[in-house]
Amino acid sequence: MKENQHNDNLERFFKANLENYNPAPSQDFWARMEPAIPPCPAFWGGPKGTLIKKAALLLLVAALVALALLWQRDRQQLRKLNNTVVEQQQEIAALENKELGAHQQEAEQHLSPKAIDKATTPIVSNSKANAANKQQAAEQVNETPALKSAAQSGTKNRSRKESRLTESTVQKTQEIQQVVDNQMVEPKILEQEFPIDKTVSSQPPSETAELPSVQRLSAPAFIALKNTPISSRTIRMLGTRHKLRRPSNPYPGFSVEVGATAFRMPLGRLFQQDTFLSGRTGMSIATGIRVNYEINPTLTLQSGYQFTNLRARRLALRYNSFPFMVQKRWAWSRRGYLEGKLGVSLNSLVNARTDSDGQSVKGLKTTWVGCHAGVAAAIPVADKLTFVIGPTTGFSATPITTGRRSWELGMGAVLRYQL
Amino acid sequence: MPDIALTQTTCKTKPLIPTDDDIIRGCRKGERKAQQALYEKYKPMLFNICLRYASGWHEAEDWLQDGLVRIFTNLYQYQPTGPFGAWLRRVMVNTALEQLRKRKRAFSTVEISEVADTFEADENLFAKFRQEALVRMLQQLPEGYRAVFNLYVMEEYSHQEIGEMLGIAESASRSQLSRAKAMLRKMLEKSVGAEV
Repeated sequence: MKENQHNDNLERFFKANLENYNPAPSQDFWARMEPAIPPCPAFWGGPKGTLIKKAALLLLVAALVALALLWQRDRQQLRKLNNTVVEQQQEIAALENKELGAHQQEAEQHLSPKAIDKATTPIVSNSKANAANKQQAAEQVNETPALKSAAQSGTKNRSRKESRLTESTVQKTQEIQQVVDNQMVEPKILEQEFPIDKTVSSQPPSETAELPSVQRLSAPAFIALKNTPISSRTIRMLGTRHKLRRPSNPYPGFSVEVGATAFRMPLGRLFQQDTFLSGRTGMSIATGIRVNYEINPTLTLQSGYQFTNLRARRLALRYNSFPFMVQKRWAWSRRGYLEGKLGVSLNSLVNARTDSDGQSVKGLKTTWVGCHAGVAAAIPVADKLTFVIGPTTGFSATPITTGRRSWELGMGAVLRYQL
Repeated sequence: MPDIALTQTTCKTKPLIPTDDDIIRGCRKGERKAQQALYEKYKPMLFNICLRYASGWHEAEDWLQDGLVRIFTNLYQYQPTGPFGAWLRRVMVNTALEQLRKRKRAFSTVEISEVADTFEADENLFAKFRQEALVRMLQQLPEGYRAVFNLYVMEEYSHQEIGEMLGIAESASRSQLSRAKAMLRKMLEKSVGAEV
């Protein structure tokens, strides 16, 4: 305004005459106008109310989206888990039915501890019965002390042998079980250590037959697995409980995010003189790509490129931004986390045009610095993919026009991919 | 001391003419009386602006109505850092500009026949013209020229600011002003000649 000198007589003349001109509209002007005056808006109908309503709506939408994503993620996990369980059951069934069928039957028939028990029981029972018979006979035959003592000593010897056999069998069985449990079953070693002697149990037990040595005892039925090509995973599945996967680290080093931010400049105040112009400010959009680098488990550095189409009143500014942000994370739940960010952006003006006739506007600064802050909720949607949504705010640290600093308020959403 | 203060407070009477603060408070509450008081107090200034930017009386009244409605609905934006009158003036100017902008032909250039750049104003001669006549002259200008002339001469904006407000280049603002002045000079010459 200071540049106006009004050294022109014509200008001075018009100004002097028209400044003090006090015309009055028609007498009935107020009467005509009164009905057109809108009633005082209620709080919710006023501008603040509208702003709050819009913010609440945005938050509601964000919450719904977050809930839907969480629900979907839970469903996916459950489906995965179900599938895994079904697969495991099928694998087990297949193993039991097909692969193990023949071996198991054979082992059960001939080599299993049951069979051994079966095989040894008659020995024990026979010997016991024999001893009992002998004892009975001795009793019957005048109960001679010699016969009685012989019968008693025979019973004792056999009981000792039997107990030794049982102990060693149990011990070896436990060892085998331990080896199998530790998943260190090496078929060859096992075979060398515990050679399968099918003749032992196939032979009918007799009183005169030699008691089977411990080495000749075959492995229990499940050892038959040694001959089948079962992966360690299968063994683990059979032997261990299925563990849920722990949530992965959301920032394993670098990550890239792509997204957009929709924001508005409240009241469209980019310039002082357009403050009260009619018309609503348009929705400004910023979109770009950013790279994050995790410097520690909670702090992340962010930089990238962003293109912004800013809509102020009657004016559209397009500019490139290069943000430098610091993000901090807080655990929110097992799945998601909250993050806050703060930083600056270097902005470079591409062009500025008026909305009405598209003419370019001069006099704007070509570069300026903006400050940005925001909070966001990060929700992992897949193994390497995270959805981040939250409100953002910005303020021009250096004014775009002389003496005027704008600020903005918006909502951003990005998809982050871990590299 | 408390008694004196109490007396002073009790003796305080409400002024008959409402102050700007009263008007603003009342208008914010939607009180019709306060709105009417604002209209009565500021109608000459506001209508003056409308007349200068509009091309006729009726149009000026329409714009005044629009401007007043905007003032009443946007009064919550006013912050008492500057004079209330200046704020009202700015709102009305912006309303007028908005109305002009609605017409696409607002800022088209109009060819004028050659006019002498130097014009020696004769104060006695100009004194013959009444304010209404000057307003009518302004109203005869093309809308773009009228807007630039009013903004530059009456509102004292710079060409850069005018360019930003109207969405035109600074040079365009300058050229439109000089063309507006040339046209006004011509009109003045004609009018004076006719009177004489």
